Amino acid sequence: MDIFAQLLVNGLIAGGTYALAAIGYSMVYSILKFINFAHGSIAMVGAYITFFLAIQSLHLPLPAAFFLSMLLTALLGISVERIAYRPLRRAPKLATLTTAIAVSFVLDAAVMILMGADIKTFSLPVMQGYSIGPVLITPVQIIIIGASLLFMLLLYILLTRTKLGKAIRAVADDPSLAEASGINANVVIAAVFGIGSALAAAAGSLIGLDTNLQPTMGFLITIKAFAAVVLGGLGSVYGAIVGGFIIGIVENLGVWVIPPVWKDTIAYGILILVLFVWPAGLFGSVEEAGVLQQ
Amino acid sequence: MSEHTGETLLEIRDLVAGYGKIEVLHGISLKVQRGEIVTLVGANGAGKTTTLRSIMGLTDIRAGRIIFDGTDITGWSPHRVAARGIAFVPQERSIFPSLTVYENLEMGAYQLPPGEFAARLEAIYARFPRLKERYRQRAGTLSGGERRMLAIARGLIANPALMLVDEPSLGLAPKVVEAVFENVQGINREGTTILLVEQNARRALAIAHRAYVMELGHIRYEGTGRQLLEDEQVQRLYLGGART
Repeated sequence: MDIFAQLLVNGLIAGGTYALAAIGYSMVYSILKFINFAHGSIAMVGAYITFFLAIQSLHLPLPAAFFLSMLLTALLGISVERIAYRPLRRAPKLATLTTAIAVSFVLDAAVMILMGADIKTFSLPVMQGYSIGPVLITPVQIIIIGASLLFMLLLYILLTRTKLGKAIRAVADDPSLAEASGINANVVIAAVFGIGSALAAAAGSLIGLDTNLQPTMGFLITIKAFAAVVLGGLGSVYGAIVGGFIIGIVENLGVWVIPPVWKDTIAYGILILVLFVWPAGLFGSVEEAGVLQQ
Repeated sequence: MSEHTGETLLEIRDLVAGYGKIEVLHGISLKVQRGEIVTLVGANGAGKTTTLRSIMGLTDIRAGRIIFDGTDITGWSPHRVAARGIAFVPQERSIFPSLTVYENLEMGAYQLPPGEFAARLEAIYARFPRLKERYRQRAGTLSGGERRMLAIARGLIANPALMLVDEPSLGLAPKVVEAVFENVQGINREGTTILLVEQNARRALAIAHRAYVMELGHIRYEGTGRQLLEDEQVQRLYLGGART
């Protein structure tokens, strides 16, 4: 039972980072009905920017590097949308999807050239872990779970209390009607890419702190966030958060019964199972699920 | 019926428009004077909805001009058209279903200076008390009639000079239809010019100052509501025969 509690906590920590990554994925899907397969690579770039600012070059304090990385990655996300996706807004979805995969290759290759292909670690000084009952948790892990929850709360406030957040939901509901109501949909779309990319940078940096960094980590984040979004229901931001936590927990509980090297396949397994058995996901609609079957 | 000044608020000249490669409007011209209710009638596929959507900037315009209040708005994006003073109440998908009633109204007032929202909201609630009762409810859970009211309110709250209203009576019970038409007339009396598309041609012609009959992307007839109601050919072709 002690192991169970420890694995559950580990799952919550991983799940928090997946949920953060899944938010941007889900928000972009909900306004553009397009699956941004470059999202994980954006998260990876965010992680490397944090690493570069804090460890490799400027030696900024970690929180400063973290927030600066969120800002820079937001600008990267906005630029990618402007340069690569917007010209294809009216093109078939397959064209945009292919472009997103190309963007992820470009970002992965760029980081590999600039930062090297080897694994990097933040190598933070070892800190005393805390024992809460049978569970051991490190200060870094507490920061990870705290930051995940904080960003989710801020997102909730943005979406329900601010004019921009309501406009984001309005564009997700109906872009033409939103435009006809006086909302500049392009500004809203840019904002969504900015917010989603900033949260992806946070997710990537937190994953980097929890484990390590390598240029190929983006693909794994993409798959896990995608699985979280599908499980939660396409187009539902809150569903994506719940999906992220479920995947993190199932993955970590899974190593109880299967060898740890198979851990990353669990997200694939959940993804395939949901698509076959339950395409609408937890909070999604059947109509949205139909998009995947086209 | 309200007095109108004879000043042209909207003018469409030789408009050719459609969606992508499909041309729906083959060169239509029409005028709306300030203070009028003008209605477009005609069969399905005549191009009535496309005309409204073109004014709003939601179609692909090939040729022609759209002049609103002295400004050429041809090719403007919809949010600019809205900001310039035109509101659009579409036939379907006319509300944001996952937003609350209140949030729908906030979105309708998106371009309004923040200070004016409260006063406009009060005016809207006075006209549609039902919306005040339901302000926290998700719009997607409203009844058909309530949705229609919300759609009209969402357009009206921006205090537009011109409101484009597409098939407001579609799919509603007769009693609700009555209320919708009364509201359209009431809104007009308070100074908003209205361009109305309506399948129920008799009902629309009865409240319109002037009307255009459309057919297959062309304008076939124009006249006052009364003239068209009494015109034998229009009756036979578009109103389902003479009233018995």
